[in-house]
Amino acid sequence: MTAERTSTGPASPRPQPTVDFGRRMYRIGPRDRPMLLLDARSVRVCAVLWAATILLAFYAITSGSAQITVSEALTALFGRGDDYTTMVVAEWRAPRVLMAILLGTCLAASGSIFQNLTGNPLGSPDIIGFQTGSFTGALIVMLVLGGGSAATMAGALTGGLVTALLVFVLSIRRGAVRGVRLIIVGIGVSAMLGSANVWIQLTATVEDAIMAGLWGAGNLSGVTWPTFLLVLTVSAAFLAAATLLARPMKLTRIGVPFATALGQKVRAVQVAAVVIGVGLTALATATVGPISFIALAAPQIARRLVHTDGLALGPTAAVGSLLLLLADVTAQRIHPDSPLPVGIVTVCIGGLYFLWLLMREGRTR
Amino acid sequence: MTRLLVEEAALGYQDQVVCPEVSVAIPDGRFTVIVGPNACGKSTLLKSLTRLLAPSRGNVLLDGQALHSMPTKQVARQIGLLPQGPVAPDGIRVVDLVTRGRYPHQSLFTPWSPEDERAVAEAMDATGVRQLSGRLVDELSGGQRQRVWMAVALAQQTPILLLDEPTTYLDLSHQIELLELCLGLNRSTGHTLVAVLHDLNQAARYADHIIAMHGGTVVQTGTPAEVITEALVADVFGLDARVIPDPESGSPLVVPRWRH
Repeated sequence: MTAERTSTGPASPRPQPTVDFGRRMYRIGPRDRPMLLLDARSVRVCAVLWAATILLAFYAITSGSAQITVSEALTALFGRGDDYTTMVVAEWRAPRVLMAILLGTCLAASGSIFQNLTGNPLGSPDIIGFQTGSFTGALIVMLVLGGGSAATMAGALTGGLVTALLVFVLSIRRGAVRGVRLIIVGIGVSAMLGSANVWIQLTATVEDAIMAGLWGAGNLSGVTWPTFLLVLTVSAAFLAAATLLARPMKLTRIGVPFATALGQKVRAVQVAAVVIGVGLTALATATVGPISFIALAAPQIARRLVHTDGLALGPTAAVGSLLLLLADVTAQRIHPDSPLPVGIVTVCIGGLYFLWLLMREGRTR
Repeated sequence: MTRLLVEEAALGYQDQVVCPEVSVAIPDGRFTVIVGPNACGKSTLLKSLTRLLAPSRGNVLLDGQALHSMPTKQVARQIGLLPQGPVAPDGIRVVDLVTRGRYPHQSLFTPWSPEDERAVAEAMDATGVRQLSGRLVDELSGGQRQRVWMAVALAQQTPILLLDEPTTYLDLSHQIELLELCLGLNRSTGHTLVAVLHDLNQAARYADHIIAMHGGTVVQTGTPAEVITEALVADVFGLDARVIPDPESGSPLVVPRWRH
């Protein structure tokens, strides 16, 4: 191809043709050499979502069942409050709110990766059994081996990874994994593990079973700063890798032959995507127990908000954070005397969303 | 000169051998068409010219180097492919799809450049889809969609372009429109084109060079006049037909015999 080739038609050659993108785009970089194109709507949606998340976070930190005023909470946040207020605000509420935001991002990113990989809105880690598998791992540690909270985390992580491996091995046919097959195998494995979980809980003492049940409902209470910092460090690595994978994964959506011809190592991208996707969801589940719906719904909500094709990691992460924080605030405030585990709230909203998704799919068929 | 060569290659999928041994030279700057009956190994041969299918024996060479050991992006800057029946992601716009074609020219630190924008604009101009730029691909007709996919392959700006049955599912006028577009590209910019086509008459009209295949082997290669003969049509397609000069283009025209 020659550089001096002009566009067809009698018009004089334009030095810089501007392409109609069908929507507003921001060009980032020097005026004559923009380096980055950003969808204007996507940027605005992200800004609004993050602003809402920050406002909600302030609300969650400054309100609650303890009799603490907003101004007291703010002074405590800046390290000048009395001991009691500082403990409630800075030691109890702040890490919990930050953890909700962080894990919301992790779960949403994981959902986005798997939905993109399977090319199906149902291809989400909470549907295809990874979270059920994490719970199985945690149950085995808690009730059979009798381990503590660190061991439970390790058990959940192992359970999630083993389940993912099992689902993938069972879905392989003629050396390739197909999206729909993966989802069906995942739902089957999930159902089997679900009944195994019930059986393990039935064999335990009542106290142990209640404790395990509470963990299995997904709970953000009792998050401490050390746990948050540990999860932040690990997830930062996974999230950075997910960001790097976004562009190659978008390309894979136009089909393996085309992506290969465009110079992509498709298999390597898929393997990396699976590792990162499983890692993110297993990390979240190991930390606070299984929280469904965020991974399933955040990518779809984000897609509808920004009108984009495929993977929109930024908006998806923002939606996930807002959703999980909102669910946690709701869970705590819905009945101040007996707060609910956040997982219960997300499952309730998730059920409604799922119904809507199935009805919508039914109509388009 | 031939940049792209297949040397005594065995091609197939896992345990199933499709082409036991093929040797083919793709003439530079020409429009080559591979013809043959169904399941004769046409698409397999075309795939072996990309990184999609590595030969189990023998070599596929680009500029004397084994294609499958070259860096993937380096290959992607030389050889483009329009695969059979590509599927667009839901809700994607024409311009975003065409932009995907720039992948081998982009990197982590330069995700977008004026060269990318120019290449995307040129590819859309060349295929006549510039006006559709901001539209959703789902809303387009089959013919428009195929031109958009062609634009994706053109945005890749490769000197060699492979097309796997590009006219399938198109009606006759859109088939001709697409072939005219290919011919125009070849004549104006010197693209080396290799296409798999089903229609012998279209192949004879548009190709400079024809590769006829049957049962996984290359039966004959040469100009349409050399290859498309009554004997070959009978041998390869098992069809009793007359071959007469096309009244429009003068190329061989296959007319099956009337048996009644």
